[in-house]
Amino acid sequence: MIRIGKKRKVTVYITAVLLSVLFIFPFLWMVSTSFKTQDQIFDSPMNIIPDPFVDDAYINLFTENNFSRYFLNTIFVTGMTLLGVLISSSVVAFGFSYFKFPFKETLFKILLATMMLPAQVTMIPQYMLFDKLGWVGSFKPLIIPTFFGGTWVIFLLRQFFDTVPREYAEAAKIDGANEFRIFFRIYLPLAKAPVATSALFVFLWTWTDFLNPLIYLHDDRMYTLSIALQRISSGTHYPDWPVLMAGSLLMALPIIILFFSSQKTFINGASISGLKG
Amino acid sequence: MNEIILKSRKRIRRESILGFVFISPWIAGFLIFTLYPIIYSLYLSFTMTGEGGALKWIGWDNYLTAFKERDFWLSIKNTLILSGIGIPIAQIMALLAALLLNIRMKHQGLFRTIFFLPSVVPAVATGLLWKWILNPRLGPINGFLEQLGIAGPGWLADPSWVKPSLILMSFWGIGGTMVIYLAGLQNIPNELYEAAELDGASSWARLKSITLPLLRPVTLFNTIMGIITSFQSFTQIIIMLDMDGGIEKSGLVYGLYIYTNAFRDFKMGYASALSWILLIITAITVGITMKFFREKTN
Amino acid sequence: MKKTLILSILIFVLITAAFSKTELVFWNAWGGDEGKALESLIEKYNSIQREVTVRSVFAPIGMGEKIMATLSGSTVPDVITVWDWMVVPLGYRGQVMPLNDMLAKSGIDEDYYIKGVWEYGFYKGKKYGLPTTLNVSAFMWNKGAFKEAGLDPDTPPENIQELDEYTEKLTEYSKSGKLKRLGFDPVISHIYCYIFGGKLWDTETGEITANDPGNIKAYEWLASYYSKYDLKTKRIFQAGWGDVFSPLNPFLRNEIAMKEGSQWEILVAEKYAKPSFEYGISYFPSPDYGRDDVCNVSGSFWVIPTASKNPEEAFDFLKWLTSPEQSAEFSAALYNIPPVKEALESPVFKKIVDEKMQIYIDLLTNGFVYTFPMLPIGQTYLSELTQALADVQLGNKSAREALDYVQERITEELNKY
Repeated sequence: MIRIGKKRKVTVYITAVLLSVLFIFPFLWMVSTSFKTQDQIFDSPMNIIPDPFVDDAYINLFTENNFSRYFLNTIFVTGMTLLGVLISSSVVAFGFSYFKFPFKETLFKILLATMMLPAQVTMIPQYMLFDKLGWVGSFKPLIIPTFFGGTWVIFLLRQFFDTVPREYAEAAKIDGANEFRIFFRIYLPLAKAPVATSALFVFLWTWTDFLNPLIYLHDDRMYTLSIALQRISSGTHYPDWPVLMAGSLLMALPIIILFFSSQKTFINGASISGLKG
Repeated sequence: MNEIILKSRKRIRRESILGFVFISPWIAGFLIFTLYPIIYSLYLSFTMTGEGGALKWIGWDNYLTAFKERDFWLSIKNTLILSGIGIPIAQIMALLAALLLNIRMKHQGLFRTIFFLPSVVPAVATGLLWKWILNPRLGPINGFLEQLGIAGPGWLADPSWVKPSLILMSFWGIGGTMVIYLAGLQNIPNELYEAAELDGASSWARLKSITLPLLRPVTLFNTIMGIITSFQSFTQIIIMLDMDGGIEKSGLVYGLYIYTNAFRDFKMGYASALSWILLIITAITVGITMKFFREKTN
Repeated sequence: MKKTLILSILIFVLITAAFSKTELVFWNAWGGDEGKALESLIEKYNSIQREVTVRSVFAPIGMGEKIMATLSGSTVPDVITVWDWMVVPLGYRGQVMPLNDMLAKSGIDEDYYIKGVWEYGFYKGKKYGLPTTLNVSAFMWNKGAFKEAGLDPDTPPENIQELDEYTEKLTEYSKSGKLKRLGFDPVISHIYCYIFGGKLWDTETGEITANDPGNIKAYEWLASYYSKYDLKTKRIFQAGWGDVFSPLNPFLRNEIAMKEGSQWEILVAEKYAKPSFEYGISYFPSPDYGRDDVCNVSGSFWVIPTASKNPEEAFDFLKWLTSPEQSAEFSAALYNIPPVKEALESPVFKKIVDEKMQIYIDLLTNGFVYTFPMLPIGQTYLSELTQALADVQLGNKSAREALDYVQERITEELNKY
């Protein structure tokens, strides 16, 4: 955290406010649209305050679109994914960062390369594989692979682990700590910020993922929120914008709340300086 | 003497084994879930699907076809322009935003949340909004320019403005990268700044000699992920323009070219070849980037 | 005690009854009211027969990601809804089954369908799916705009020459040189190939005819529309057009005077047009050497995956679903036209038929019906044709050169299949 003089502080604050207006705009627009009637959407010039102000869209989501069921499904898939990705990826990232072993950098390059092949062409063979395992139509293809590490998270955490000074580990070793202890007691606490950041992104991507649930789930009752949203927008005619926006908002809300409330953890997480001395 | 060598050998062996133990989840996952689809797509890239779904081995045909296709080169050109300009600017802006929001001030958490908001809003919603904002006739930007007496550009309706529009839109999504930079900034010890301050270093000097060098691993991460995702991206194009990449294909990017070949034209073999070409291009670009960062570090 | 016993026996009987039935999985691609209409048809089917239970699953078609992935696996649904352009590629690759035998057995043939619709979904003698409902294009004009331009509001242009003249008269600029109204702008370019007497393929042999003389003439004419307006001005003007299914529909707002329009746009006009808005629907104008009753048809299909475990049952269900009564009901819900002849006479469908809809039906039943070639690489053909038009418009190639190239290129591609 940087501290600066009072005069500058005011300038910085004003800059932040001005930029915020730009960034909050789409959100306000979505909130506004979700409380409008279908006909108001096309008012020109656009009114940001809906008149009349209706909450039909939200009621529609739960009565006609069975949103509560989809919420539960999405919570389940996202929860399991978070658990799987974070545990496995932090272990793997530590392995890549802390130890010296043959082919380490080659293996890491392979890990990076797996992200470079577009999903469009691996999607179908992947499906065939899960089909042979008999997992298709269940949550398994969405959840089980996550327990084997997420490349993005492994990469991010390794970048952070690499910056941890070696002396900490050496000091701990002299005190008789083994590698597992070093991982749990030194590296993980130090990487609180990146681990929490990873959690945020994994949450965001899983929560909003459309393609994987779409492909692997074959039952309406198992669908997730993103597919439910797709259904709203796929009538043959014009989509019901208020309902679509209300649904998008409800979907985004948990992520926003999570981010806002857990800020302190992942941005002001423990810094190396705290452990010194 | 011998004993010491033996001991250190034993230590090295132990470390190797432990290393493999720690990365074993990923190795297992790679062997079980990732390797087969990758190899299969490589195999597909040398085939085409014939009648009844039979795969015909056609050797390097798919690759050779690609080099002869006008759209192949066009999509590479478009992707390189969009990434070459978009990635550096987006990185710099995300970093600046992170630096700004790392300064202790009132409502800091709220500001950070707001900057992150566009990254959370579903693409369909932002797409619709952007279409309106950039509308050359009815949109607010051109409306504002008109009041200043300036004739606004055609934005997405003008082939020479399509790319600038897309880059402009991408700035809105810097929130994600910003959050990672913020996480990186937390790892820089405050003592370093305090010491520099005592030495009378200006804030610019502190940024240059402390923040940026210590942020390098995070910058490398963000840049590499930026390259990988940018080279493959196409959903925003479909939402904002169309399957052909808009007017005069000015937004036909490589990811879209793969996508339409795989799913609209049913040429999985050709799409696989395109993907492997992309893998090579990406790997080279990432390799150069890493080398560049390493040289800077040294 | 007794009550519980009876109840459990009852439940047991119900469960066994439910399990003895074959379950057909049906992939429904529609949300909204259209989806509900289909769901209610399925409920009806489940209640009128005892052999199978149809379970409907929402499966958006999109670009077919879910469909292509699923068809590569072992467990597949029994009926899938797909876009028309997917039918032949999927059939050709052996992923959905030809229905010829089953159609023959059940006595469904050419006569069952509206003339010209039977070929829809055929490739080299095999029919791979059944059309759900049809979308038809016709010529629409704004009568108010005609009056403003001093034209007779009740007579649309009869030939291409008149169309060009009317376009000039109907195009309006503001004082500052901005477009206020476009006379006409061709969008679905292949319609004009047929209007100019050309054709895109030989439906008998499946061979393509990209450089048919009629197509070349059509392309020359299409390119002339490119230089009619200042490109930049026109594009900016068009960027301000709203979605067709909204009050910002440019036709309803008098921003384009003549256009290609589908039958469901009648519904849009009813919903969003000002009460004073008047428009006409007619056949497309055509040159005297061309065809004057061209009718372009498009839509979606129901197909049966080759790996379906219950193809016979699936076909029986489809037969029912596309029978006149149900076809009429579903088409009415979508504001589309049923593909089967008898459905046109059904009172359920008649309810949505007004004077304007009747024009579409007449065009479909009496006109020259064509669909975009359904080939294993139909979409490649379409994008090459689009690219060729762009080349002609930009002056890179003459119409003949551009179409010769398409012919050569797609023939070469097709030979691989």
